[in-house]
Amino acid sequence: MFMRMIACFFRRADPDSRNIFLPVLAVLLVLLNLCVYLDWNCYRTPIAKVVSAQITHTQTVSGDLGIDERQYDQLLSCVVLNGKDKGKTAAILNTYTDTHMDGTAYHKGNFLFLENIKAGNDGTLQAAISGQKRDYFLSFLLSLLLFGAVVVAGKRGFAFFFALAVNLGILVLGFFCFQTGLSFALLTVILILLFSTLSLGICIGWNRQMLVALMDTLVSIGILAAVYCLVLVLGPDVDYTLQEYIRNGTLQLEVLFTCGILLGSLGAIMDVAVSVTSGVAEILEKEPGISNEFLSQSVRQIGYDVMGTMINVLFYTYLAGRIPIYLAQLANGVRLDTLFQYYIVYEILRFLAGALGIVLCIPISSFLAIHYYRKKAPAK
Amino acid sequence: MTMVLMLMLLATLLFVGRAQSEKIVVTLLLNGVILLCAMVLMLMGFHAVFVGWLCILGTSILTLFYQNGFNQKTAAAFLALLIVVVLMSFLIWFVCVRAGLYGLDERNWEEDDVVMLDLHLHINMIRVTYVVIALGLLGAAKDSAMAVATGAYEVFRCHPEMSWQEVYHSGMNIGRDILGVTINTLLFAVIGQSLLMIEMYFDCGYPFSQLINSKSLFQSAMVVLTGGIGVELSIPVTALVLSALCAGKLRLPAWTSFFCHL
Repeated sequence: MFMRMIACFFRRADPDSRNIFLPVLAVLLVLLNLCVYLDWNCYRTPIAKVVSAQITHTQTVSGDLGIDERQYDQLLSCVVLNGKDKGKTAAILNTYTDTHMDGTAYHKGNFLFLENIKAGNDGTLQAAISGQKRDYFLSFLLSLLLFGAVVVAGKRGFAFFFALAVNLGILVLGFFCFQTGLSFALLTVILILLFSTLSLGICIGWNRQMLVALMDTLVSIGILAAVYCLVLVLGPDVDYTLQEYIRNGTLQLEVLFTCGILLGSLGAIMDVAVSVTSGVAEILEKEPGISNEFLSQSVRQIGYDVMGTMINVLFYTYLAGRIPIYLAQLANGVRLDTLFQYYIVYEILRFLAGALGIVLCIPISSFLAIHYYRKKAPAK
Repeated sequence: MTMVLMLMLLATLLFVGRAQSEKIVVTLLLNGVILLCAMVLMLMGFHAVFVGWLCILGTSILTLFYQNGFNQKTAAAFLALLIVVVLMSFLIWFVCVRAGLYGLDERNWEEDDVVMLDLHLHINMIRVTYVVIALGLLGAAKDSAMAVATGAYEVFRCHPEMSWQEVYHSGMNIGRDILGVTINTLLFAVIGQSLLMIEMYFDCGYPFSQLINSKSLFQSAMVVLTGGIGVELSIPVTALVLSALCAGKLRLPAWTSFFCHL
């Protein structure tokens, strides 16, 4: 990897047009966030802002497990911001416990969606909470991500963010196609082609290195798909019905899960492919006469450098996310082996397939990259 | 099924990685043990943030110092990671508490196996959520911090006369290269993981206004968003720490040589 990085050092940084650009971007983002923060008039659901929150009652409760904990009753006085009750105050009772598992503690300044609004006897309204307004947090974090990318990487950061937006758009479009009856396997193939072409094209630029990286990515993911499907056919069946968020009984869960695994591995495989191809390109540029044996050895070294940490990224992304629910299940006496067998198994399968993709990608992409660059070399 | 895939992974690792594969496998196993121990400690009633930080330190030391060896590069990455996680902790905690990201999301209530559970526990889920997000962030930031640290250090080794500003700039240049692909890794991992959830949004005909305010979407997006911001933060911080180390402005205390024996 370092070969490519040495070269990066010698490449001159972008001419600084960023100096004017950054403050402009910052102002635009602040304006955008203000708009999202103040957008309650765009909603049809009544929204109220919490003006004060007081704990009115505290009691000790326990469930089947016999663990005592405190439960709080919170009296929220809110001002309705939109709709026909605009400007009126509402008094809402909210309950949460110390565990914070099934209730949310609201704070002054939160925005709440209301339902079942009824007029109370002393002019205030009574209502129930149907949810919390979170869009401004989402836009705040997205803005931070965009701003950070531009500060760190300039134009390329902007290009990356653009690629991210395009990818999400394609994903949504793909799901619309799925709703109209396109088969999910075919959809995934199209999605993978589009995702990898656009991400690599926008992030690296449309050049030869991008083409090689794209070829590596596609071949690697193809082989991963073949290997995974082979295991799927030969191995024992997996019960997919215990996954979360299944609402539609007619879904082909196995296909959906396999497609999810392939899409999930795509990012990691692209990462490895980019590192390997740029490594090969840099080495060949520095020493065009290098022997094939030595070249493949250095490329392997690049692969090792990436492999360990990449596998760790996948490990934590996949396995850490559902810990809160696992904790609740373990505390309720679900045995560890049951948990592994029926619930964590999906995350483990995803992780294993992703890691397998990373490891497979290294020899495949180094072989392809060396082969391709060598073939091109005499032509120059 | 899991066993077959695991064996295949081991076989390919051995074939591709040779000498390094042993360290990768051991690191993975120990990471799994760390996660399990963390869960057990949380169940036993220890403060979740305390357990989480033990976990963060443990996996960092493991992945950086055991897998990649203790040297100036990994020491710089380690220091930078600690700084990044501490800085990001404020953001994570703020968003978690204010946006109510902890606990079950609105759709979990329809899962049969969740409805059965007794949710009166001794564990504060705000803290657990913070730990989970911090751990995800740590994994991604570790990847970029290591890439920046190794790259910039190799440049420095070839040109030892470089000033600290030059080391910093070479670090930033490398960061520019890896930023996009690293965040893409996170993005696609999360997309692959939440396919069923996205399918559900379409199936149930979620209106857009409800979607952008939903807890389940935000919980998934949070991994990419905080991970991405962490990666962006880790690039300059690592470049800065490494340049300070290279220029001799920052020295490693003598006791750190203990990590050499890992």
